[in-house]
Amino acid sequence: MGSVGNNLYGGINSSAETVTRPSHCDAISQQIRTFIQMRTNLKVVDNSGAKRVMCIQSLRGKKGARLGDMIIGSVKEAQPRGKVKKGDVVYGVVVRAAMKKGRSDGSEVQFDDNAIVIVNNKGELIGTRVFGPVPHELRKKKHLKILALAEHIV
Amino acid sequence: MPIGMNFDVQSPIIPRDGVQAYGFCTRALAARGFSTVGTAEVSVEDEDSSSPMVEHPPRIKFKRPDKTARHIMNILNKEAVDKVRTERTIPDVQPGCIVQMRVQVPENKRRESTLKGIVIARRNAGIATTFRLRRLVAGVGVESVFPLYSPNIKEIKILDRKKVRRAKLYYLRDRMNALKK
Repeated sequence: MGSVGNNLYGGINSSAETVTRPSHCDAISQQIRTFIQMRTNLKVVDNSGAKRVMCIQSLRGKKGARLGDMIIGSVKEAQPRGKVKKGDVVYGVVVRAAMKKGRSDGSEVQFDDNAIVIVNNKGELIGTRVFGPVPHELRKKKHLKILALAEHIV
Repeated sequence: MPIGMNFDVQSPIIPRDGVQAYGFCTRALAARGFSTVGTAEVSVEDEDSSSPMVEHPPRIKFKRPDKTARHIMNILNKEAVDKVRTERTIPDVQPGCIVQMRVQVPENKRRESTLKGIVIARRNAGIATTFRLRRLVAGVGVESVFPLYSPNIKEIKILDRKKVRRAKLYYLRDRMNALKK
């Protein structure tokens, strides 16, 4: 019965976007944003040359990485002339996560996408620019260089 | 007859199934000359007396609503909310408002930052009432949840109030058009 109801709504909406009514099918349309784990695709937001990285290991947390953690990833897509090329195994710091991160004052923050910045295994940046907003959770994790290069600190 | 009195006491109340069965039981039991009628009467009245709405003659003690924990928590919550409201005025943020707020984050810097965005959800929970703000930061959508009565929020200013037909505007996540909707 529930699926029939969903089909009806899909027919009525029939607009460009595939938005279903959230009030009726919460489990389907609203994803529960979770950790960054193996096989998670992440966007790269610096100018190191890579465009997409797939996480192969989260260096912190049993369930996966969150905002501000380091991961090991494999470069899946890269720009032709860059410091890293396709197939490289790189370390990265998660600067934007779709999973909400709680702050000590009771607020929470979450972004619309997952993004990393490529670093070496000591934590030093490979690229020289960082695009997009970064959270100030990185200050506590001692990634001050990323904060210094960021466009906007959330 | 004790059974008759028992029945009269029960009639003005909204009968619950357990109570009614007990009443019948006592009548049936007393017909057989059982002496448990006295104890049954007492336990039945105890069961009645657990609902605070029922008006009983004062010889039966009942649970005062003032002593229930839920009531006390409600009062504490309301007191806390009133205390914050007298200190600073907090406008009524409803989903669909476009607000601009000044937040002071002592966690990283003591600088006051201004955030501007649309309220997409509001969750009422007394002093822990939170609202969800969605904004576009440097091309990326960011959603933040803020406690409404947080002392870190220095000022909330409502810029515009859009007409929405929903309490939670999560459909806006798929629909980020260029203008600040």
